[in-house]
Amino acid sequence: MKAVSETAQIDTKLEDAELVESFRRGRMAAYEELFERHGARIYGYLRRLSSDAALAEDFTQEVFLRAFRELRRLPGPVNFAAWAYRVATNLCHDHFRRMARREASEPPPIPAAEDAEAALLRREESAQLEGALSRLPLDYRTALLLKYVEGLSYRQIGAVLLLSEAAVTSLLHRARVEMRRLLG
Amino acid sequence: MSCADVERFLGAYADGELNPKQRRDLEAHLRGCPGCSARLRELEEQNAALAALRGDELQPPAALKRNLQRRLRRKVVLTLARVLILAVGLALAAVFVPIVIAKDLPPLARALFGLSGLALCAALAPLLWRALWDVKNVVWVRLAVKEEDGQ
Repeated sequence: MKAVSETAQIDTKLEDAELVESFRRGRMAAYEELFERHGARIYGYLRRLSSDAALAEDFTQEVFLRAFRELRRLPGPVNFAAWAYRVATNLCHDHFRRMARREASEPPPIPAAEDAEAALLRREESAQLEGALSRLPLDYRTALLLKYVEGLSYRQIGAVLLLSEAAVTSLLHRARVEMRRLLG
Repeated sequence: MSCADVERFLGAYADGELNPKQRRDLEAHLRGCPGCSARLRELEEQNAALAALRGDELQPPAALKRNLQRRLRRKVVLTLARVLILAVGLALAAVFVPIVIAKDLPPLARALFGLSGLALCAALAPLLWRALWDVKNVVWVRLAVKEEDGQ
């Protein structure tokens, strides 16, 4: 990226909203900076949500392709993180809805080969938690990941899932109850 | 507050999402209820374990950025081609319609056709601006992909 960075320096201390504005004015370095800030985080979220590395990569690319296409057209200031999580969540949910229609099944658990690899790399507790997360219904898994792994507030989760704060409270409550049941 | 109410709001309490009155009521219940207090500790442990997953970084593949740039380049080139074809088509229409169709018409009708041609050109302006923006992006994405490939 040196060729780009040399010709189009961007202040890395800028807020996301300023980067979005800068990108709307045609500065591609601002787009690049948004990717640097959020790319890995969105990938990690999608990786946990889908339990599928290839799908997570594909959807991460799709999120940023849409950002490239759509950010210029959206009216007013944009909360990039909330927008990106919303697009990522919708991509994943739509995919599994299509799969469910096709196969009448929930998203697959983490594949066995990956489980073995993951078990070597992670602590037993983390592996157990990730296993329980992967068996949760998609809505519950989404809410728990956004809250505890991504660290979003109820208001921010509401903005991502287009729910009221009361609905987020209720969704998280049901998700925790189910998680507790799965962890035994 | 009953134990059933507390169970419903305990998660929001642990997350710091209750309003001050709800928090006070819930804390008053917790002080006198060992069962709900134990449930809170259990919940906090579960939340902490989930939050600890944050530390288990799931690194994206090294090729993520390069693959994104390749897809961007394809998309931008396709958009550019579409916009240019549309722009050329409309420009030709704007020039040839008054000349070919209106050549045998009275001067007023020809003037109207001429004006419609100008209106079409005005409509083209944003499309051409978009095309220029895309040209700039194609150059950027090509530079970026070349740079990545060179590493």
